[in-house]
Amino acid sequence: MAVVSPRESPAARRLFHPISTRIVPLPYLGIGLFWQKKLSKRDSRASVNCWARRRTPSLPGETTKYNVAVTIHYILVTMFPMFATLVGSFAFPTPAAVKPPSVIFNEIFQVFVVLGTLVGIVVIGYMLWKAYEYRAGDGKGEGMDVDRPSLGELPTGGDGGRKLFLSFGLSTIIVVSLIIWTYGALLTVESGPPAAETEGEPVEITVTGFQFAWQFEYENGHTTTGTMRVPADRPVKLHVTSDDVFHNFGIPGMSLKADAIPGQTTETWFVAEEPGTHTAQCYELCGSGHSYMTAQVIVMEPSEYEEWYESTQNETAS
Amino acid sequence: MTDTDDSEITTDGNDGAAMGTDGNEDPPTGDGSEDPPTGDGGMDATAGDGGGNATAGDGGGKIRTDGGEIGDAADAVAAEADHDHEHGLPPWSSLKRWLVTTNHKDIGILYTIASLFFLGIGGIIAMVFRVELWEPGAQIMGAGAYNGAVSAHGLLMIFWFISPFAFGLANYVIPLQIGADDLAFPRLNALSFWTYFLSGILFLFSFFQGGTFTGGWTMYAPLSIPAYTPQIGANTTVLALALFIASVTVSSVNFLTTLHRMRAEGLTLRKLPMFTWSILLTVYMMLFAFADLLAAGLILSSDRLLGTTYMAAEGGSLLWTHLFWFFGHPEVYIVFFPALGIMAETFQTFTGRRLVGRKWFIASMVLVAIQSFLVWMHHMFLTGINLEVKTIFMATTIAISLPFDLMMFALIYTMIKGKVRFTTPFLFSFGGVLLFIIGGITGVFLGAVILDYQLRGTYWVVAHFHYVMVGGVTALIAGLYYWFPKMTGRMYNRRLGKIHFAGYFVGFNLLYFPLFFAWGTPRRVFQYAEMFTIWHQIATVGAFILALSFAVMFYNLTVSIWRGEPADDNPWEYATSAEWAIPSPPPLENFPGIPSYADGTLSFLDRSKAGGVTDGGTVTETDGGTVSGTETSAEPSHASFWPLAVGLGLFIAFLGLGGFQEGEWASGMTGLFHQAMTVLGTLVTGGSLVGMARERFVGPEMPSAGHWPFKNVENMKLGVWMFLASDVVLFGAFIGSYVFMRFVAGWQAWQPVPHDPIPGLINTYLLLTSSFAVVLALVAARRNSSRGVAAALFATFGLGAAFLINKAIEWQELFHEGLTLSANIRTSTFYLTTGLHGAHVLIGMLFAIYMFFRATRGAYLDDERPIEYFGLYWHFVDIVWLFLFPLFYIL
Repeated sequence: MAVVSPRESPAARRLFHPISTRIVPLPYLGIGLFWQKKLSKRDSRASVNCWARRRTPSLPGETTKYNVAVTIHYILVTMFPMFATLVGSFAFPTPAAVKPPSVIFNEIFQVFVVLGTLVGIVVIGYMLWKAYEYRAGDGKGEGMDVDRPSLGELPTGGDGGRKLFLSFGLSTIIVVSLIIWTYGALLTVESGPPAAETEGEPVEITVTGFQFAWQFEYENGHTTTGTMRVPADRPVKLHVTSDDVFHNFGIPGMSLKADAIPGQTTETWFVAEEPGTHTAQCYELCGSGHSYMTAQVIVMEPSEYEEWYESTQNETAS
Repeated sequence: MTDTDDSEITTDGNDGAAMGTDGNEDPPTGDGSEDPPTGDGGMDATAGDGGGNATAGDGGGKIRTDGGEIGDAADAVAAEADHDHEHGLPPWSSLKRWLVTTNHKDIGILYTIASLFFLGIGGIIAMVFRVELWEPGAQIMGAGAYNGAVSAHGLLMIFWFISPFAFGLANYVIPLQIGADDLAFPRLNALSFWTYFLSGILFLFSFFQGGTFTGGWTMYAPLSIPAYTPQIGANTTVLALALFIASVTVSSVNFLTTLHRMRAEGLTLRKLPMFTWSILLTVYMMLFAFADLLAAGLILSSDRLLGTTYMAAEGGSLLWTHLFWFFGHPEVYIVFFPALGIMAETFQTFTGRRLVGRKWFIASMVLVAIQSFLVWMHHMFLTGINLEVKTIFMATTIAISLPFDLMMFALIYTMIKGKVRFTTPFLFSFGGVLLFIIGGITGVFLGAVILDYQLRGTYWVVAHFHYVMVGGVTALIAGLYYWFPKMTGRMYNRRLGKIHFAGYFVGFNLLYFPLFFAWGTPRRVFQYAEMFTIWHQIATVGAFILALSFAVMFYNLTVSIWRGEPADDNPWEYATSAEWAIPSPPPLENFPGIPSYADGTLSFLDRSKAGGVTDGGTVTETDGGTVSGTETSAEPSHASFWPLAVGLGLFIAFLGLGGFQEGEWASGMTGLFHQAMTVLGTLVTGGSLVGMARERFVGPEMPSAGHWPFKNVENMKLGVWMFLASDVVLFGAFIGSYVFMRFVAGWQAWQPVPHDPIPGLINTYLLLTSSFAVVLALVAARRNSSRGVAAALFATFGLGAAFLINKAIEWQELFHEGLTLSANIRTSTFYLTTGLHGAHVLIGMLFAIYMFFRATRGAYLDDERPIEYFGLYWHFVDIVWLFLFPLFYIL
């Protein structure tokens, strides 16, 4: 899984280049324009230059609402370059400060949670409000002169497609932008631990899962079962596999997870910023001992780790 | 008032109250319907004079009939009994009726009740392990039992509850909505039900056979092979699933043929009601997705029963994930789409507004159905696949969420300018949309690969899919309440319905929302971190509230069947589709005349004036039985014992097969029992299939119907083509598995198992000649030569037999050299794939010899279509061999 670091990846650079971030929203603009023309043509028979104008508004206030919606749409689209550039700088940090995957994950997760909650509240709130506003009996819809469905009719759609497209376009922009943003972070994580000069030589450990414990093998051949020792502030690269069935090795405290598949090896990495103890668990059902398939991950001060590592070398050497 | 001719129309003798006699609409029964029709909202049928206006009104319309009367719902049941009896069907109160019926309405009710039964069991299992999860650590169950419980819960809910529940409603409603008298193949419909129900019973048996399957509903390999899961119950589970897949495949073929060929005139595909559209797309997805699951299940069964080494070999784990998730992802849309259709229907009815953006809604559904097959690797982001592939699947996953955005917005905007009535169906439907939106938002988290790296295998996934799937169930419950008056002729208790909704909504959210907070819990564990305890406890409380609300529903619906207020034909104002234009419950033949939308709105044409067919005789569609096609219009049949018999035979046979593990029978009495059951089951199945073929069964006819795009493809033929399409996917998955395993092992390093290709070449010639023989049989039939037909069919049989004998000799030699099924992955793939093909040849031969005997008695001269259909199957089998031969012998 050899991936070029994003700082060296020409493709990634191009994606977040100031010029390309201005080109990207053009299709959105184009689509928006196309639909506006089409919709306004439908409204008025002889349309000449109607972009954001309707000849025959159906209800008072509708035109204003429509214009406001269109304006918001365009603002968001034109602001896309700013948004993307901002994000780009975030996804490609300067070389001195490489973020460990756990920090990246937490930041992205929090943004998603906030945005997701916001979107959920807005959409569901809108839904509830409309249901109340147009309730039968004494809601707004009672007095309206609207063609209602009748038994035996062939189905046709209702009107109101304009709103639908605006909402759809808006949600598309939000979702796609979010994903593009996370993609930058994905590239960072996938490119593996940062170069040796910046953070120190990565510690490489082979993790083997079996029913129902984890075995760790270090570079010098030393093996332990149930406990993994790593130094703080240094990247740790894990090669994960399984001896029997499908497991998954995860350290929630380090935001790390890798499938442990018999016959193949998956790779992942992390950086522990401070000494402490974490628990690793199995995240794929593997048999009756699955719930208890845990291991301890002890993050030690770099100097302590070096001492310990030396001592294991003496053992294996003798 | 004239009481016109057609005895097919149910009249109860109560002419005074029959609609149309005096031009008044039927008085609303008490305030039985939640929405009393407005003054002009009733439905008038002017009888006898063939005239009458269809007015496009506000909530009401007049359905034109030219010859029938529509009876009053209140006495429908009594009339029903006599009327059904005339058609050879016992009344509702007799058990026999339910065992032999082939009518779609009865089968719909059977599916609904059976699926609710499995819901009960799956739900009780869930409550047990939610009690177990009250605190970290083992409480009331051992680890094995816990694993079995979570696996069984998943299997029962996904396979035996949710889709069959949707199909219960679909079976009942679809023919009514499209204007058909029944599904295209009524006996196959009954067969689908019985194999489904008995496969579920077979799965429940597995609990008593050393414990059920314990590897999760996802059945990851190699945990699923006997080395790690030795109990017989696991064999039974996989076999039960295979039987279930057979049921689903038959059902999809049935629905696809019906939906393409039996629509009322003027009802083009674009004008189908939303529920029908959603079912159409669901069955398309089912046809292809379940074929892939069948391949996965057959491979797993073969590993377990025959001792092949797919799953234990290098790459086997990954092979399983590919096979399973290629099915698994379309499956979740198969589960959700019917709910989506119900959401669209109920939003339209209960807001009094037509669906906003309807054609975009349909386009979105079609897009999702296609895209569902392109996203499966998002379940595999951590399996070490490379970055480019992950990027592609991230993109397709996000792309598939976008049509759903559009659909949800369309539903919400439909409420604007509407008159929203908060009836029980609408409460559930609205609630379903709300819950689905929450589930959908959390799904975007999982689509962002970097987040999926953390969320994989945790309760975030569990909470997400319960929100979307059980959100779908919410809408299905809406459908149950919505169509309950139609199905039973009674109204449920509205107060209890709303209480059910309140309990359901509170319980649901108490159960699943805390799981987002406890997302750090790994899946399928009972030992979790202390900090999550409070969330799990809230969830357990929610589970019990949810279960109690279901108890309310069961009570409400059961009691209402006997003591509910009688319901109108159309208790819902603004409902538009055809099922609301007929009595509640509908009579056996559904409609008072032939439904037609030819002039833009629903009308019923006089049956005796069935237009546009040949001199005096209508083309009678048969169901595979022996009725020849040129007979004059025969009374459609409604009952057959054989589907139940075939289902029982298959159940017994599969029960027996479960005792065969890794190439040998279980020891002692258990082994004997299983062997006996296998033999008995095979005999019963074979005999019943012959009986079914010999039975004289008349299927429904559609003299004038919408047929696009299969206008000239007659029902049986279309059914065969659909079946072959799924068979293509089955073989595709097997060949794909072979290619995958070979790539993993190193393509060049892999020696073909047979030493030389000569036997394979001979087999190729044999098969090609046999195909030619079938063509000769067809030609002979057209030339009226019964001896020619018999000879050609016998030649086909003989060449097929030669093929199998040749293959047997070849295999014997290979076995002698130690190249058995379990030897290694090369032999496993060789024997299983060519063996599957050989099984297809064997089945073809059984058809051929049966047809040979019939041909000697002069059959197929008047109607050579069975030979043509057999030919389609046989040519398909030959073409598959043309792929297998180079792949396994030469390359």
